[in-house]
Amino acid sequence: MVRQKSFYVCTAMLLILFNTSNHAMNNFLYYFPKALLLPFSVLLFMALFINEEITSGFIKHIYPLYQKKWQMLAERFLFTCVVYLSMWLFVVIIALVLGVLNIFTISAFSVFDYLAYIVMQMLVIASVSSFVTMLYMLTRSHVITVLYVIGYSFSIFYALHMYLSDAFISYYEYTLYHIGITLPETFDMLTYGKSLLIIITSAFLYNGITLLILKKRDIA
Amino acid sequence: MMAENILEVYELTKMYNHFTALDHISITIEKGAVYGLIGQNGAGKSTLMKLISDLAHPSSGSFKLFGHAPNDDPYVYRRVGVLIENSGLYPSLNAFDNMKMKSLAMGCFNRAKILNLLALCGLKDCGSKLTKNFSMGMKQRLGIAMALLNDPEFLILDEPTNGLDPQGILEIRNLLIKLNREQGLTLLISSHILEELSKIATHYAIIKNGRLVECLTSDELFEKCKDCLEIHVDDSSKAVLCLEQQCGVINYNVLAKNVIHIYDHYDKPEIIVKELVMRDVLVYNITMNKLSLEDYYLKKCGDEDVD
Repeated sequence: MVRQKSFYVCTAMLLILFNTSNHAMNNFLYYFPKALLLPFSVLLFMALFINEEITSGFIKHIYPLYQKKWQMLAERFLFTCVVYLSMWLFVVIIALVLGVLNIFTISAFSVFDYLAYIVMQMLVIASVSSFVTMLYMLTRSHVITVLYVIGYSFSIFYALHMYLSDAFISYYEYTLYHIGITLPETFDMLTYGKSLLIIITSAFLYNGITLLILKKRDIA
Repeated sequence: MMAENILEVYELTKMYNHFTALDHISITIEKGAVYGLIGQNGAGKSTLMKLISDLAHPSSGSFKLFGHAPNDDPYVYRRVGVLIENSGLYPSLNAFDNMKMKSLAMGCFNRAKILNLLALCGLKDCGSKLTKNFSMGMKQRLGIAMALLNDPEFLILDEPTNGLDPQGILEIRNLLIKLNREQGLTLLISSHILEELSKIATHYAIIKNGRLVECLTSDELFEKCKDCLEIHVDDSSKAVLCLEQQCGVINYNVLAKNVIHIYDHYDKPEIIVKELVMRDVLVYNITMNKLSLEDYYLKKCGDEDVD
């Protein structure tokens, strides 16, 4: 991961967030994951990673090694979590280094609530990354997957979905975007439980479709 | 003792929409063989290699690797090394890092082994040069090194000498011969440079338009390409009698359609023709044959009817 050019591009974008944000330590640490640039950076990196793996042909070296292809998809799900945590940690370290005098103000919010939120958002992003993988396998288009990542992160798709479906169902509570960005500040079993259910079913759905695509389409 | 079969292909077919890329191909590759796949561009050589490397799905048919269907052995592809079409390299990484990425994915990272393989394939001095700046020959060499990373027992190489200079071709040929003879590595190689292939292959399969035209060993090919006199007569039985009794010909081969290949006295065609005519055998045509693998392949693939 650290040798990929795309990793540094995406991580540099996080510094834009840091430079434009409020540097008050407790507020920054708590609210920056909700801002669009962390999910956007992670998803963009994953889109670039998947694209490069296939367009370079490197996938030919590792694809046959997986007899059960779902293991490959599960690894990528976990890899997205690692990427999310790495980028989150990177920003936290920068923030701590530059805001070291304010470190004791972290006690102003619940660490448990904060970590619960981070874990939940990490899983949301990993599930969306599975969708990005599915989209790329379906279209083999780098442009479409990057546009989707932009559209997702800037809530363009959310707004479109809400507008189109609002007449039929209460779409508001059941979108990954909504869940990822507006999770409560304090841990709430009902909200987090609903979110987790949607994350799990979405991840299974997207990866299941990707598996079907892999069975039908040639990898090279 | 029956040789172990590394690869057994049964009626393998691949269709893309309505186009048949591979049409009921069946071949068997024994352990220790160097199997050469010959065919024009688009004949189906790469398609066959992709199917048996799990990079593409067959439309019908099946195959076995090391005696097992791929689904029966989760580790079967760890015994296979593959280089098909492009080398599959990350352009922003150097040679060592590309090898490292693959070895980490396989769970067998060994720095010394990677360096040895790079040296073996002539990339000892490439250093930190990124693969996007590699020449085509260097990429091919690295592709071969990547294929050897998991100590395979079966190596599938699609045009391994593509882009290499004559010295490079010689080095890769010697490397493959060494791997085959010293380590017993089984090779499946496709190449357009038939002269080069003929120096290493023990078996050949000729593919045309997705169909298997012929399979033969190097000995059989040698027999077919041996210097000979080819005569077309009206009655091969009568001609053979005359050749044996009057001309003292012992080594000959009667092919279909009254065509005879004569390997004795082929430098005296006038005497042979004279004796045949005197015995009322009509001679339609007589030619001197001296076939190389390329000539044999062109002759085979140029014929509408296959012997």
